[in-house]
Amino acid sequence: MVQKEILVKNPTGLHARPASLLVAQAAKWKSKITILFNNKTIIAKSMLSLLGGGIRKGSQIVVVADGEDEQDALVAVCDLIEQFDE
Amino acid sequence: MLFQGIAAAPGLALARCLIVQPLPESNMMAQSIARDQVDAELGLFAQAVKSASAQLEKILDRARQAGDETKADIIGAQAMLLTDPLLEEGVCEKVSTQFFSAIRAVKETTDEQADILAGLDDPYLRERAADVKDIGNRILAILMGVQEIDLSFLEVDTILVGREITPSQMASLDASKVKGIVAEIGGKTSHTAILANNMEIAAVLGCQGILASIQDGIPLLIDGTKGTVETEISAERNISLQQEVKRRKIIKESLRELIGRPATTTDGFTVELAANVMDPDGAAKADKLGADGIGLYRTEFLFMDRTTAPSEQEQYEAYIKVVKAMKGKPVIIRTMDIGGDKEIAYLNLPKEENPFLGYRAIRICLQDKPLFMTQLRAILRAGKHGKALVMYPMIASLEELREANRILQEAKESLRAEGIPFDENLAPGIMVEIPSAAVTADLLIREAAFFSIGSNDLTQYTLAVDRMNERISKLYNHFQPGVLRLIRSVIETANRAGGGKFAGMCGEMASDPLATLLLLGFGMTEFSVNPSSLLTIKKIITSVDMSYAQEVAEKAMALSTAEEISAYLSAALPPELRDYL
Repeated sequence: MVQKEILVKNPTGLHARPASLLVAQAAKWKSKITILFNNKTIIAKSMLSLLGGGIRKGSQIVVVADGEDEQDALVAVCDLIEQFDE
Repeated sequence: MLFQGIAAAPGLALARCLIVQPLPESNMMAQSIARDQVDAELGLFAQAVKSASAQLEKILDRARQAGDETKADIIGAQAMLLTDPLLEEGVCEKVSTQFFSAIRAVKETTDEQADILAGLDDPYLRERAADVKDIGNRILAILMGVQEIDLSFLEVDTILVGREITPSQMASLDASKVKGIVAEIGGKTSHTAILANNMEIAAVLGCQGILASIQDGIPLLIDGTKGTVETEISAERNISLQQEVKRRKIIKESLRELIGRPATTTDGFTVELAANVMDPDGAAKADKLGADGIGLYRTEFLFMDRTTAPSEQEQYEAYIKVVKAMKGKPVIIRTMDIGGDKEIAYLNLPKEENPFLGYRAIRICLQDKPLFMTQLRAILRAGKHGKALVMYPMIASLEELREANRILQEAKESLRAEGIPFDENLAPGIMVEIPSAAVTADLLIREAAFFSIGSNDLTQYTLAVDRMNERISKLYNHFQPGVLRLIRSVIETANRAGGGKFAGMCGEMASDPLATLLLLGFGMTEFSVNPSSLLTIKKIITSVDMSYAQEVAEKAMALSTAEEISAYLSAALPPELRDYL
């Protein structure tokens, strides 16, 4: 299991389009990918879970990947979140 | 019979109705299965999800081929929800441990998930709740073997009527045959309304009781501008209405050639023709129609239907969307105009005897300074992304304007101190809607960058007529000489002030084609109208010359009653323009 802490910087948080892109990215990997935020565990492959998670701009989140391709999955997902601009 | 609902998308439509039935709820609940049926039920569920996926894929393909991004985005998000792990887990858990039928498990799981989203303090997520229910219904229809009417292939012109018309029904329907939408629930900001506007289909939502009084196939007349639905149309009236609908359609199409042309009179006098909006979608639409700016962005909708006031960040995000949608064209952001007649739980507004004369709009903001500061900071920051102006509603005196401007300065200072970028030159203006403000316009214009005449309230306050009171609604008339004299003097005062100061109008009167010549003649340089009236008003402005407008204004002001004035204005409109009334 690997994890990384990141700060969400895009104004809309993990909403709408960023949420769809994140789900699509997470779904590419075999590992279980979760996001720890506000004492909740959010499932990155689930749009419902992400939308209900309430992640906004300025939220400090921890991305966790667990599985055979965890290292690559973690890097890909974190890069995507850091890329979100609008 | 005439039904009144919410005007959700403009247009006039006459066609036979098709009633879209919801799935029978009674068949969904209390369905349990035997232990040995678990695998079979899970198989049915998996199969149904596959079929639903295939249906959405088809709709998505069609939307993409048609280049309809809005539709593709909504359906794409639904396709993603359909295969969501939480949905699958929820259903499997209910089937295998609680022995629910797949139907009941899908119904309960999607209802639960929708309730979670609906309970969140975010308008975007609340609308997603409708999407979750929508995909639930799609799976349920397949599981229940209900043959859904294929809305994408209709034989004749149709008006769809239902308890609810869902976003996925909207996205799949044949826009060349569906002329109108009527639903008992839903409002202006629902996805259904947004899609109807984009697809240019007339829509009346929140039309309660309609289903109980119509049968499938009868003709209906719906007016999406007024929010009305008419039933029991005689054959005779049907024929004359058909001609009317056809005529309006031809007129509407001919107006599209005005998009992209400036609102310039035949003798070269250009006015700013802007639009009134309440959200980013409205702004995108206004931009497509070639609006010169947003003359009134109503921000109060951000404050309604929720449990706490929106944060600075949330407001900022909403405002930049509107500012960016207008690509550098001016956007006048009006600070929240909320009064005692609207229920806003977190503001603790007491019930008032006389809400229109009570604690509302700027009066709330000047007393609840943190609320006002938050909004001003968000507006100042949004100004960095384009051209924004701020406007205070319900200003009655110079003291209020000064106090508001002082808080605006404070907001600037706090942003500066925190090193947050904002628009240093954001210009503050006021709504002129209280007679005292109109009468003291010369004092106010010294400390305001612009005026926007709120003709609805100005008429109501000048005539002391409550426009919501049906018994006296006939007395409410913006062509009363008392109202017109105030309007003319406000415009002239602003024009005399020089220094780029101006007077515009964002009330209904600006969208009234009968008033266009008069307001032009008064020297008004900014018209902010409902997007659906924009091209009509542009047609009038571009068809007349300024000296004629001035002559009409002079003559109208020499008349003594509202009735004489409207009759004169109607006759003064060049005959070829009367069709646009």
